[in-house]
Amino acid sequence: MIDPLGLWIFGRVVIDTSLMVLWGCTGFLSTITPPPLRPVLARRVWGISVICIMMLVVGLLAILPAQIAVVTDDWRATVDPQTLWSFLTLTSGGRVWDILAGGSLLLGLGRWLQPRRHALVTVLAGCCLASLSLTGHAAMTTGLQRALHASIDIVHILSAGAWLGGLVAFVFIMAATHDIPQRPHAVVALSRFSTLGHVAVALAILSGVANSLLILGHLPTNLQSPYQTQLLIKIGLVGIMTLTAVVNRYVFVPLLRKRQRFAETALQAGATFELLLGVIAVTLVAAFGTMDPS
Amino acid sequence: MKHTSVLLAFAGVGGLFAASPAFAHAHLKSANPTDKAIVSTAPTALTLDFKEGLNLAFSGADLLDASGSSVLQGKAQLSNGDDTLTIPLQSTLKPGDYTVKWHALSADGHKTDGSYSFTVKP
Repeated sequence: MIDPLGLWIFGRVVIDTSLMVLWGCTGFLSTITPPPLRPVLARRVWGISVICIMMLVVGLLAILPAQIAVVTDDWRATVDPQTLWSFLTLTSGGRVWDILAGGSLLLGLGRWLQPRRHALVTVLAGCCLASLSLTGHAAMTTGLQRALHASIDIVHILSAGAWLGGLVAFVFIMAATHDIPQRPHAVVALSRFSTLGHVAVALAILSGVANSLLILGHLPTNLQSPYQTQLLIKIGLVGIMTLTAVVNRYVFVPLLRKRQRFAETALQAGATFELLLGVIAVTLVAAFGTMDPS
Repeated sequence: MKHTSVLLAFAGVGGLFAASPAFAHAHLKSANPTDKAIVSTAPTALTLDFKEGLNLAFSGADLLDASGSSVLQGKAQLSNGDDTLTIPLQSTLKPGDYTVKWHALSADGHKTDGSYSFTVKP
């Protein structure tokens, strides 16, 4: 029999990643891309957003039975209508599932009926990401502290999503720089990405530190705790990602003038590497998010 | 300058609550009858006190007698900010060893379980 917790983690990784790409990629397109470049980028973003919405649906269909099986210790409970109803209406995880299901329906409808309204997808994906803070460790306290913790969690997931999703758009924009008439617009988009990228990375790191302190009450130093060990690995990965971003921005971007082809290849390789590490980081969060922090 | 103030704001927020250790999973804090207790009067209810608020629909406990069969229980209730689970017993417990197997879903969606035992003296 499939391990329900393993299936749950898989579902959560698929949901988180697809929402982050939707949020960052369409956000990049609707805010910082100069209008003449938008049609070029929009074609690629449309394709990837359709894939993301399909992944979101797959993730949601996988996570619901997995979560019920985890909670009840019984796979048979997943087909019991009474249990399903109780889960969807009475638990925090169930209510987040309801929001995400509604959100993915709206995302699908939006993409289908209004294919040019990229900002709509950005807003919907952002709301779905924010709803994730209604369950899990961000919701472990009550009152004012809970509101504060949830806000920090929302800042964290939205800034990390802007970073990851923005990188996908960055790779597309790099490809557009080969097109001579588009090059000046692409350069404008890349320089805006650089500015916003600094803010997103800084916010992601700061909110991540605050989040860890709120959950643990101290720094993650206990290597006997699987939660803290995985959190430390994630922090290490984010460190490497940040270093890659810094090298990309301050080594390879200046090199674009002198050795254009080499610098472009290096930038794309760096961005792809960051994306890969980013997905591993999301997987770690999905895994240790289910564990006991102490 | 702008970045510095954002940094300070976040560090401050983190520091505010850093002192209070957190329990993100509903662990059993205490129970009545307590673990390994030998009681002379049969309890009329089981009381389980957790470190965190519970979700009633997916939390509960089974009381098993020495032969491993379930003892009839009433409807479980939450009190004390959803931290305390009280399960009334429908019949007077006969003398013997009993095991309580509990499972809890915390309000934030994490699952825990465990068991403890007590003895009713003749």
